[in-house]
Amino acid sequence: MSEFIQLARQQCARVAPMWPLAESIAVNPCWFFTDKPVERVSAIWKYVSDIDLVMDRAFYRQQLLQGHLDEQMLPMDATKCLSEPQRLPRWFNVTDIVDQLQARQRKMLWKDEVVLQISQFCGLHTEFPERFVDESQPDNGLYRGWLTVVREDKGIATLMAESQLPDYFDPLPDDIDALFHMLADDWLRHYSEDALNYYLFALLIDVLGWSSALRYRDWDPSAPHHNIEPVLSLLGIRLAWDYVLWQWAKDTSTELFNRLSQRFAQQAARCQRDCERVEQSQKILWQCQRAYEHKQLLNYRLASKSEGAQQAYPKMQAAFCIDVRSEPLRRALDGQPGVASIGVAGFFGLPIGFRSQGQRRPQLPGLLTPQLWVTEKDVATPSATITAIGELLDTPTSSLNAVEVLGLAKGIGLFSAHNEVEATDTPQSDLTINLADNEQPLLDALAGTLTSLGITHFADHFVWVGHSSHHENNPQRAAMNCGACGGQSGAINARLMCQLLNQPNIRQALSARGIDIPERTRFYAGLHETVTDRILPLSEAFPDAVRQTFEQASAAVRDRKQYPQTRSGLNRLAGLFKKTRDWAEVRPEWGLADNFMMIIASRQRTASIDLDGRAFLHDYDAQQDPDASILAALISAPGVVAHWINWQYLTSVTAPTRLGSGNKLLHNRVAQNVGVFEGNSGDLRIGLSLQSVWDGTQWRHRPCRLQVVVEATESQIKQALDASPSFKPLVQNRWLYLYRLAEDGQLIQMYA
Amino acid sequence: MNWIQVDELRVTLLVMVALLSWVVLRYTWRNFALEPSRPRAMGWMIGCLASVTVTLIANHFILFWLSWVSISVCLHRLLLFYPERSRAVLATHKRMITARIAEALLAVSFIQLYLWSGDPTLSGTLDYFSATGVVPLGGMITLVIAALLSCAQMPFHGWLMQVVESPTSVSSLLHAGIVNLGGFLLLSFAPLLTEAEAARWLLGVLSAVSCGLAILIMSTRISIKIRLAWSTCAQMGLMLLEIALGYYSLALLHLVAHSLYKAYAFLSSGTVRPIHNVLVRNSWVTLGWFLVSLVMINLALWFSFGHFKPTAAVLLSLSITLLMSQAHKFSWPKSILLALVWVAIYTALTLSAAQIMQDGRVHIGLDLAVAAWFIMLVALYWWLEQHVAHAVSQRWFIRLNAGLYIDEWFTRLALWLWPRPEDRHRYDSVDEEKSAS
Repeated sequence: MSEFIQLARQQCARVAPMWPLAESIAVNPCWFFTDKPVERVSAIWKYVSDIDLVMDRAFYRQQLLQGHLDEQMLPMDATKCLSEPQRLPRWFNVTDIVDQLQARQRKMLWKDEVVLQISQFCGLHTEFPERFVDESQPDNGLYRGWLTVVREDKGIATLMAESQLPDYFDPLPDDIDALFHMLADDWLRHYSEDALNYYLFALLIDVLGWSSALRYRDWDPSAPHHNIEPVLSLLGIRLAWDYVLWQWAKDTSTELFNRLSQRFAQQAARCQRDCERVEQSQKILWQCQRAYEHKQLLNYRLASKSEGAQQAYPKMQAAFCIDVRSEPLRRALDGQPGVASIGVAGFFGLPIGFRSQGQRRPQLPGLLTPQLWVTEKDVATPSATITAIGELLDTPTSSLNAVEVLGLAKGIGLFSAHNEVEATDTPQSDLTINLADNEQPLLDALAGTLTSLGITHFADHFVWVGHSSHHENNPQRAAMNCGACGGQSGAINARLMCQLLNQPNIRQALSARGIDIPERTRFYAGLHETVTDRILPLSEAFPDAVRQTFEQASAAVRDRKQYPQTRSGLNRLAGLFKKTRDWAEVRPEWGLADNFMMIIASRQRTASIDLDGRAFLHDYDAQQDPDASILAALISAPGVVAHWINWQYLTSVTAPTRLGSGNKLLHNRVAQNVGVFEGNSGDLRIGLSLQSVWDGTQWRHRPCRLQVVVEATESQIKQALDASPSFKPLVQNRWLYLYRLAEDGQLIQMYA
Repeated sequence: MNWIQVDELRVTLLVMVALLSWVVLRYTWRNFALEPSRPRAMGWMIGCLASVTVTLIANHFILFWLSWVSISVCLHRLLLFYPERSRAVLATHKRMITARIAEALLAVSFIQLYLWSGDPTLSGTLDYFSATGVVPLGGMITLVIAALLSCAQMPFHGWLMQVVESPTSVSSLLHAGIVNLGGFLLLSFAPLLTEAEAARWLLGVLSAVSCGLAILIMSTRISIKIRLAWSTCAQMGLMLLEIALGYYSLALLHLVAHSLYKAYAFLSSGTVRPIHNVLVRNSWVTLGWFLVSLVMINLALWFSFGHFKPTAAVLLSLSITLLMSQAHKFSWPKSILLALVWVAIYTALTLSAAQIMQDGRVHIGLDLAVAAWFIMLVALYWWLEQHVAHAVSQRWFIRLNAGLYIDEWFTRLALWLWPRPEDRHRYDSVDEEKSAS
C-alpha cells in the first residue's frame, strides 16, 4: 500500500519550519494549514493534541463581562453558551491509551518517556553529526541512527520496568520506506484514510518541536514542500514506538491488548465525527474572537483623505522598518515640523546576507534567499587565543585541570558587564561589497524600494533606520531583532542603503531609471535600539538638526510608553539603559507584543492617530500602482511576515505550553543552538517564552488576528489578492482580516 | 564551649560565599521581577545562604548538623519551585533519598566522634586527636560516605542533573555553592582524615571512578545545562579525590575556582555561543606532546613541591597537550609561552592555597593508581573520538550518553517510594474548564 507513505508525506509537509536560535524569526506554526478555514484547523489541533488556537470559554466570558466584546456580533445566547462546561472528545495515540489502561503510578509514563527518548536522540543526531549523520541517506541517517541507539539502549527497559521491551526493536526494518510499508500492510490495514490522517498528525504533533527543527534542516524557501525526508523519518520513529508498544501489549497481557485495540478501533471509527463535534463546540469561541477583534478595531478611526495633510516638502525624512515598535517613534517624529517618516520592510529590499569570520547569516526575510554577500573589514572579535583557551574548559580531557587554572579568572565575569552588542551596530568602517559584479541586482533592489515607497521628493537629510534590541544572555534574542532582516540587527541593511545611495555613480544610474535624487540630499544610517527607544547613528555623525529631532522624539516616546518594570520619570532612560546591560534581565522589552493591525496606506491617513504601537505601517500610494503589482508584492512579503509574527504571538498566548516555549528561567540551549528545552524534559520548544507575552499577572499580548487595512480601490485589492497565492488563502480562511480604507476613513471589509 | 570558630579556611570560604550570594541574589531579584513568586524565591535563597554561612562557622556538632539540615530543607523548596513539573518532583524525590541518608550518616559520624573524644565540637575533636594521635576509623568512614553523597558522586548523582527543572539561579546556587559542602566537611577534619587510611582509599577510589566517568559522560550530552551538571559531578569528584590524596591546598583551590567558574557558566548559559570539544588531529604527535609535557611537568612539580604528584601532573599535562595541539591557531612561540604561563599560574595558585590550608601526608600508592586510571580513561576517550564509525565506539558512546544505565534504578526507587498522584486529569477526555485554569 503505497498510499500510506503518501499520506505520511502530506502530514509532514504540513509542519512549519523553525529557524535556529541565532537566526530565529517568527513563524506561524499553522502556516501549511492556511489552505483550510481557521476554525477547522483549530478543531483538528484541539482534537489530536489538545492544542488551542483560540482562547477558552473563561477568557471570553471575562472579556464579555468587561465589555471587550462587540456584542452586535455575538449570538443571543452567547453568555449561556460560554458558561456551559464542555467535555470534548480527543484522539489518543497508543502510548497515551496504554498509560491510561495500565496503572503506572509507580512507573514512568510511556508518553513522557517516548517523547523524551525521541527528543534526546534528535539532539544527539544534531549535536554529533560525525557519529550519526549519514549523507548517503535522504534523511541524513536519522532513522538508522535511532534504530542503533534504541536497540543498544538498555536503560529504557530498566526505567519502564518492562524487561522484554528491547526485543521488540529488533524486528523493525532497517529502512524507513520498508517500515511504512510493513505497517501499512499489516497493523494499519483496516483503518480509513481519515483515521490515518488524524493518527499521523497526532504522532507528529507529539514531537512538534523537533519536527519543526528538522523541517528547517533542508529548507528551501523557493520549494517549501520539498525536502521533508528528515521529518518523515521522525514520524516513522514516533510511529515505530507506537507499533512496538502495540506488539508488546499483545504479548504481555490479553486483557490490556483487548481493551487497547478496542479503544483504538473505536476512536478510528468515529474520528471524523469527533473532530466535527470539537469544531461545533468551538464555534462560539471563534464568534467571540471576532467580536473581540472588532471591538478593538473600533477604537482606531483612521483619518479621511482630506483630513490628514502631509508636509509637502519636509526638511528631513526617516525610513523605518514596519515593525510595530517604530509606530510610536514615528508619531513623535511626524509631530515635529519639517519631518516626515516612511514605513518600509526593514531589510529595505536588499537581497543580501552578511559574512564575517567564516560565518554567514541572512539579512532578509526568511522566505527569501540571499543573492549577494556583504562583509566588513574591521569587525572587532574576541581574540582567537581567548577563544581557544576557553575551549579547554569545555573539553573533557582538559576541563578538570583548566578549572583550577582558569576558574578564578572566569569568576571575574560574575562582576563585569558582558556587552554582547553586535560589532555591526557600532561600525568602524564601511561595508565591503563587490559592486562590479553586483551592480545590476543592487540597482534593481534600490529602484524597487524607492519606487514602491512612492517618494516624489527627497529632503536634504534622509535617514535609513534599522532596528535592533540590545540586551544580554537571552537565547531568544533574535526574536526581538528585525524579523525582516532574518532575526538580525537591521544595521547592515541601513548602512548599505546609505553607503550606496551616497555614491554619485549609483545616483546617476538611478536617475536613468527615472529616480532623481537631488545633489544636496545626504543619506544617513541610524539604528532604533528598541529597549531604550534611542536612535543611534551608524554612519557619519548626524547633523545637529537630525540628532535633536531624534532625541526629542525618543524622549517623547519614553515619557508615554509602558516598559516592563521601569518607573516613569527623569531617570527612565538610565533605568532602561541598565536593562540593556543586565544579564539577569528576562524582560528587556515587550517586543512586538500586542501587535494588531497592518496598515498599507499613505502616512497622512495614520500620522495623527495614536495606534498604541500596535500597527505595522507600510507606505503605499495606490495611484502609482495602476496594475496593483506593488500591492501584491507588499501583501505577499511584508504582509506574510507580519502575519507570521502575529500568529507566533497569538499562539504563544492561546497555547503557551505547546506553541510557546515556556518559562525563560528554565531554558536550556540544545544541540548546536538549534533551540531550547524547558528544563531537560520533553520536546524541543517552539514559539515565544512566557515572559515575552505575560507580565506576571496578565497577558501583554491581546490575542487577535492581524487586521490588514489597505488604501486602494476595490479592484486593485482584488487584483493584488489574485496575484498573491500565499496571502489570498489567509483572507479566505480567516487567518487575518482585510479591509479597504475608504476616502472618508471608513473600513470596508474585503473578502477574497 | 565554643559554638563557632573562624580560621583561614573558613574566612576564605566565607568571602567566596559572600561574593556568590551578592551575585546570585541580585540575579534572582532581577530574574523574578514582576513575578508574584519573587518573595518566595528570594526568601528560600536567603535562607539557604544563611544556613551555609552558619555551617561554615559552626564548631559545635549540633549547630553544624542543624544548619546542614536547614540548607537541605531550603534547597528542597527551591528545587521544587515549580511543583507542577513532574520531572522536577521526581528529581527532588531522588535528592531527598540521598540527602536524608547523608544527614543520617553525618549524625552517626558526629555521635561516633563525640563518643570517642568526649567533646561535641570540631576544634575539641581535632585537639583530642593531636593529643592522642589515634584515629576513629569508623567515624571517618561514615563521614567520607556522607561527603560522597552530598557531593552527588555516582551512583547517587542522578538528581544533580535533573534539577535543571528549577530556575537558572537555583542551579547556579546549587552547583557553585551547596554541592561543595561535602568537600568543606572533609577539609574541616583534614588532620584526622590524613591518618584514616581505609577512609582515604574508599574516598579516593569512589571519587576517581565517579570523576572519570562523569567527565566522559559530559562530553556526550546535548544541552548546555546538562553538560554543566555532569561537569559539576566530575569536578566534585576531583575535589574529593584531591582530598583523598592529601592535597588539601589543591582541593581548596579547586573548590573556590570551580565555584566561581560554575556560577558564571550557569548564570550566563542563555548567551548563544557554540560549545566545542577540542578535537585532536594527529594522535601520534599528540601522544608525543603528552609524554614530553608529562616528564617536564613532573619535574617542575618536583622542584616546586619537593615530591611527585602523579595525578596532578597527568591532568596538567593533558591541558598542555591540548594547548599545544591547537598551536596552529596561534603560533609556535605563542603556544609555548601559553603553556609556560599555564603551568606558572597553576603553581602560583597552588602555592598560594597552601598558605591557607596545609597539605596532608601524600599517599603515593593511591596517587599512582588514580593517575593510571585517568590515563586509561583518556586513552579510551581519544580512541572513541578517533574511531567514530567503529561499532564498539558507537556502543560506548550510547552507553555513556545514557549515563551507564545507573540512574534508572534510582528513578524506579524514587517512584516506588513516592508514587505519582493518581488524579492528574491527564488522560480524561479533556475537560475544557479545567484546562483553562
